[in-house]
Amino acid sequence: MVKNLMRPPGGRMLRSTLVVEIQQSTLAFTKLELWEDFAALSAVCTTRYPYLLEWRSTASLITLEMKGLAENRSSSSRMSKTAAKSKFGIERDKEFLLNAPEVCLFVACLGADWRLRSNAVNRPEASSRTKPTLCWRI
Amino acid sequence: MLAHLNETVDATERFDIVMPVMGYGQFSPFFWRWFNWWDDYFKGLTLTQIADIARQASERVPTVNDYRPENHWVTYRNTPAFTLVPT
Repeated sequence: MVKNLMRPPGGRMLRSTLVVEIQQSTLAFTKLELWEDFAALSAVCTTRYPYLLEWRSTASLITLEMKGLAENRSSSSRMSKTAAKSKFGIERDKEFLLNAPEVCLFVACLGADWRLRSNAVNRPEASSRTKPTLCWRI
Repeated sequence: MLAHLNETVDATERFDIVMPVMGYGQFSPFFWRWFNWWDDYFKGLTLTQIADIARQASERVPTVNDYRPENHWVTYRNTPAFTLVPT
């Protein structure tokens, strides 16, 4: 039984996905529900004891219509904020993360992944006993 | 660099990805679905094509939306590209 998972009061659920992962000695459960006319709802639970499941919603209940209005409102407030602080590199980075198109953000993720791989190959000391090791899929 | 990747991955929540960062260097299965979805699409393109798509996107050219993977990432495989293993 899933508790504490925020759901719309009515409507039809289109799809539900439950992902169970073993992370070290911990079981992690992630649940995604897609509802008609509603944005994706999700919950994440991490516990060492399956009988102590307590779900925590990670998304608020927002209709798609309201979501569009919220995005418009937040983008207009972001414009004035970034215009005032755009001289600073860190602000430009934040602006990029807040406004970059999807494909550009993917390219940024891909680039960071490539650089991590490159660093791991060129600096094997980074994988010492005191630091976690990154293992890539081959 | 991992911290930088963490920040970038966290920003993908904008695209309705569920809790993309679960911990330092640990990314959610939904992030990996989205990442693999784009990654497999890009593997079929040349670097020139990828650069051109990224340029069109940054210039907000509307036709860039024609260059997207098919279907939806939510049903794509969630295999992580890498894992963080404590030693």
